[in-house]
Amino acid sequence: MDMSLFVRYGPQILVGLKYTVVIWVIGSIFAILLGFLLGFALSFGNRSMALLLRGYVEFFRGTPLLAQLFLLYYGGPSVGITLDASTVGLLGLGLYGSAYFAEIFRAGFASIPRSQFEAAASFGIPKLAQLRYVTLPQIFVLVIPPSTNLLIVLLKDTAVLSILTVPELTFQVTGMTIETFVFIEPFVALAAVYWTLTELVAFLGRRLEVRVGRYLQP
Amino acid sequence: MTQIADAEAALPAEPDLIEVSHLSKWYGTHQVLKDVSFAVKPSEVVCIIGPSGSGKSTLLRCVNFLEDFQQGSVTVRGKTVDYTTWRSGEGARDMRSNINQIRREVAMVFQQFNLWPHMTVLENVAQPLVLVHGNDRRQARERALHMLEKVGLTAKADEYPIRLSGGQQQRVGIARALAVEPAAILFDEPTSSLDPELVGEVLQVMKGLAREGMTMVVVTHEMHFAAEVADRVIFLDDGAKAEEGVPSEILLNSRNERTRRFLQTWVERNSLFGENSLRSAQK
Repeated sequence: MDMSLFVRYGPQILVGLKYTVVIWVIGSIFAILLGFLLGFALSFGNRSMALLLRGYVEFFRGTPLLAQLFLLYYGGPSVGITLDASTVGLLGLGLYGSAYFAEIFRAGFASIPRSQFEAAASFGIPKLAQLRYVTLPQIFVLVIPPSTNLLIVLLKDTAVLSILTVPELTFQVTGMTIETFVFIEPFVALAAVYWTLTELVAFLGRRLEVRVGRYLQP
Repeated sequence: MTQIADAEAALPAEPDLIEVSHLSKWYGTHQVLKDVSFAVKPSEVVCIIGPSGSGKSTLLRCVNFLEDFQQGSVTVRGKTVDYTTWRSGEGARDMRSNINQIRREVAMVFQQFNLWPHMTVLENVAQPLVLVHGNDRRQARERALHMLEKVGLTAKADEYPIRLSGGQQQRVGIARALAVEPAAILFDEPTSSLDPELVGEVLQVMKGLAREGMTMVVVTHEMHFAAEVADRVIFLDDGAKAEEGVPSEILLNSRNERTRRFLQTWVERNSLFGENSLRSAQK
């Protein structure tokens, strides 16, 4: 195995890693925020709004990420939206992820038993305070396992952005293999890097789950 | 002597704390409560008994509007919520404000306890004080601790509800209700989801409250409790009030066919006329 290859391409790989992490972090935050709003509106909004948002969720869940990215990147300019590849990648990942987060949060809202709100209502606790003190603290615990799962999926899905020429990790490593005709080592290393990152996310998710979910353990 | 008697006679009749008047409720076309009226005076303990599905819990839940109804009214300490007029569209805002005020004055204890699982025992008791009654955190904490002492659960203050037995959870439920200094407490089958050996500790706490003069409306299947503690018993049958009176009258000498039949099945199940008969439970 030729390690000098990695030394020579080291700086490029680090740039790629930076792009991957930044796009994943910002895209995920965007996805979580939008997904929360969508999940909330799907749970409590009126019928016509819920129907509209349901259409949004179904589209982004039901079509490939790559197709959505192409639509945004190549179709965008024809409706006056011209964005560079990285922005499209970030935005695309966020929109795509938000559809899944919407479902995670919707399920979270649905899983809190009515009886808990009845108890709150019986004391005259207002609706907004019920949301703040009864619903949200539990939602944030309940959504941790599925959210960890989704964040791992989104992290791996950033690799798709290489097709749009976003200079992220997979793009850099692919370029390296084309230049050097060495394939095995770079792709093994690439897989190892993704795996390390996803294990880290999984570990943090489990830690958080145990920490804030103490009330669920008898 | 006569002077005292005169003074008593001169006192105005004690006003009702809770008054339910001609309450009717439908699910679709099916009428589940039929023109039910009853009143509760301060410090009274009223037990509502009746067969399963007779509408006891639904009636109780109407008193603090966890269920809505279509006709009739509920009045608590002079605040009235009249669904008959609300239905015709008048004074919706006043109604809502009255509902909120009544809920502040009438606390509830639930069959399934309905504690908030993500809060410690102490937080469960303190939360309504902070959110509704304007206590600061420290005040609420102190009062909550005091209430937990009252139900014998000081040691569990920092535990989460999931670690408590059903009986302990229900005592927390009672402490939570007591903490807001309610004018009355509604008990919705407070012992029905408890293992038999845990029923006693909850009834013990409730008896203590009754002795202290707490106004209580209790939906229950515990006939011994009704016989021993209630000032009045209401027998509900198929959504209608079939009978109302002092426990000895209803539980032992009812003239109502339905009441007698209901109590008969209960007697057979619990061999009521052994050592612990209702008669000996009578105060």
